[in-house]
Amino acid sequence: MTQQHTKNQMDQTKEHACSGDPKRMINPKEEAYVNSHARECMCKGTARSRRANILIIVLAVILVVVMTISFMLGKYPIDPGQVWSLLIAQVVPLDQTWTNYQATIFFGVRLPRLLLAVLVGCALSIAGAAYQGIFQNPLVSPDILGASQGAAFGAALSIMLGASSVGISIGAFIVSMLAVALVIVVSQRARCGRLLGVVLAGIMVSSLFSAAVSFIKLVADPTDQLPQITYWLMGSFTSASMNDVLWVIIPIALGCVVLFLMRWRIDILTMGDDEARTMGVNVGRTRLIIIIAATLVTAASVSVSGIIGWVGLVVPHLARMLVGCDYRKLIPASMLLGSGFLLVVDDVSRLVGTAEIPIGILTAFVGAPFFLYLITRKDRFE
Amino acid sequence: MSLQVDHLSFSYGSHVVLDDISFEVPDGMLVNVLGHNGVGKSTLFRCILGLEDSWTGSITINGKDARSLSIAEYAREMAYIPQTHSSVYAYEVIDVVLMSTTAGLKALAKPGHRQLEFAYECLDRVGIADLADRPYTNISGGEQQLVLIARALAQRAQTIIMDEPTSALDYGNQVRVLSQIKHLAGEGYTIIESTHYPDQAFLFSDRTLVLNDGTILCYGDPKDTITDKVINEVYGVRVSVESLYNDQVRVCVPIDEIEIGGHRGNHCDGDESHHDFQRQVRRKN
Repeated sequence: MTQQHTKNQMDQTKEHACSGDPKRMINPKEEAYVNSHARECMCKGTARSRRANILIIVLAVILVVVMTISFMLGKYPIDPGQVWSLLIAQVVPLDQTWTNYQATIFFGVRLPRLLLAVLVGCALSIAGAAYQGIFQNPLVSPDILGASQGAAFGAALSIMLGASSVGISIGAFIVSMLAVALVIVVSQRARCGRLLGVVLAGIMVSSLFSAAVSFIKLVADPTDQLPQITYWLMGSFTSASMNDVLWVIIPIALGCVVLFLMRWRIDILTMGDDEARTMGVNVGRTRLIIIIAATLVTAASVSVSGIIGWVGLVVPHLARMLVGCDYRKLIPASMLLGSGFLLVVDDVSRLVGTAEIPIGILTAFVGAPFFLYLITRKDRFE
Repeated sequence: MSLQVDHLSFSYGSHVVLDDISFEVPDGMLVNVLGHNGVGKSTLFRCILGLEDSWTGSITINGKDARSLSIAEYAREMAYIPQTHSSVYAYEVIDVVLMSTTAGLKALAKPGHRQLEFAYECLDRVGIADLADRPYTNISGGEQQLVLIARALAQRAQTIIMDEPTSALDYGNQVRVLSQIKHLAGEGYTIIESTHYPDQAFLFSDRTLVLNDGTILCYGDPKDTITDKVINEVYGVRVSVESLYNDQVRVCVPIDEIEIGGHRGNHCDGDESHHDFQRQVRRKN
C-alpha cells in the first residue's frame, strides 16, 4: 500500500521534473514558484503552526493566573483585587484598599519568592531545552556540564568560610561558571569526538566537585554549618529576598535573550555537526555561545535557589508534547511552562505541611515518576 | 566547471587516504564514485564538503577556491545528503527541509514565509508534499531520503554531494531515489554520489570515478570505466560485464557463482572444489 503510494508520487514527480524549466531552481534570487498542490499542503501546515502559537499564548495566560493565585495563597489572606491594586499602585497612585501589614507581606515575602520561583523555573527549563538540543540527547539536564555541582561546592565553601547569604550566592555562581569553563577547556583537548568529549568532561568535573562537597561536609562544623550546607543542597526559596531577585535577573534575562534568539540555530544543531555545517552553520561557535548562555542562566538560578533537579529535564519534554520539537516554539513554551511548574511546586512546598518541604525534594517526587512514564510510554504517533 | 580538484592529498596521521587526486566535474553532470569499503570515498567527500581541514592541494567549487569560502558561502555552493540520518527528535518533514534555507539568511534570522513556500515547493518537486506534516522519524527510509533530497534543493546550492544515498534502502526505493537524482542532474544540478553497485552506475550516472589505493583508477563514461578487469582489481570479484537492450544498459555478473556449460565459472575444477567446500561445511556442522 505504502509502496504503491510512493510509486504514484514518484510518477507525479517525473511529470513535475520533466515539465520544469531546466535551471529554474538554481537561481537563488528568483522568487519561489509554488504550485497549487504545494500551496494546499502549506495551508494545512501553517494552520498547525498557528495552533502551537495559540498554545503558547494559553500557557502565558495560565502563568499569569497561577501567579495571581499564588500571591493570594498563604496564612495571611490577600484577595485578587488587592494583588493587582498593590502592583498597579507601584506605578499609578490608587486608593488604599489594603492594610499596611498586607503590603509588607506582599512586597517583603511573597513577591520576591514568586518572582524567584518564576525566574528559576524559566531559567532551568530553557537551559535544559537548549542542552537537550545541542547535545542531541533528550536525557540531558542543565547540570550536564557541572554547573550544579560547581555551584554546590562554591556554596559549601562559602558557608564553611562563614559568608553571608549574598556571599554564598556569589561563591556558588563563580565556582559554577568556573566548573563549566574547565569542562570546555578540557573538552577542546579531548581526543574523542568533540560532543562526547564535552559530555564526558562534564560528568567527570561534576563528580570531582561532588567529592569536594562531601569532603567539606566531613570537615564542616556539624552543629550549624553542616545543616546549612545540607539544606542548601536540597534547594529552597525560603530565604528569597528582593536582593536575590535583582542579583539573578540580569544574568538570567541576558542568557534567555541569547537562547531565544538562537532557537532556530539549535534546531539545526540537532541534525548533527556535519549536516549543520554543510547547511551553513558555524557549529563550534554556535554551540559555544549556546553553552555559555545556558550556563549563565543555570549558574545564576542555582546560586540563589540551591540545587533543584528534574525541572530542566522534565519541562522541555512536557513542552515538546504540547507544541512539538521545533525549538522556535519549544523555547517559549518551555520558558512559560517551567515558570508555571516551579511556581506551583513552590506553592505546594510552602503550604503543605507545618514545616516547609525543600522544593528540590518535591520536584524529584514529581520528576522521577514522570520520567519513568516517559521512557515506558508508547510513541504518540504509533 | 562545477568542481575542480587538483592534487588533493589527505591522511589520518601516518595513514595516507587520498594521494594526489585530480579530477573535474562539469556543470550538470551526475558522477558516481565507486570503490571498496574504506577506500576513502567518504573522506574524499568530507574534504570536498569542507568537513576536513588538513588536506593539501586545491579544491575549486563553481569557480571559487574552497579555502576562501566562509561556512555560509560554502553552503550556498554545495549541499550534502548523508547516507542515513537518524534524528533524535521527531521533527516534521517540512521543518527538516526548512533548515537548509538558513544559509541564505542573516546571522540571527529565522526562515520566513518565502522560505516556507520554497520548502513546500521543494518537497512537491520530489513528490512528497503530502508528507510535509508527518514526523520525519516516522516515514519510510525511501521517503526520508527523498526528504533529504528536498532539503538539498531548498539549500539552493548547485552542487550536491551524496554519500551512498541508497545503501540503506530496499530495491524499489533505490530505483525511485536514483531516478529522482537522475532527473535533478538533467535539470542542471551537479551531483556527485558514491555507491557500492556498479550496475547502478551504468543506469544512473554520466561519469564514473573509481577510487583504489588512494588514487583514481579510472574516470570517465561508465561503459569505459567499469570493465571486468577494473571490478576484479577493485573488489576482488571476477565478473563478466554483460550488455543488454542494445547496450542501453550493462550489468556485472559474478561469473564464479554461475554455471557455464556445466562448470562453475571458468574454473575447470569448479565442481570439485564446490564439493570440497560442501564436505567441509558438513564436517563443521
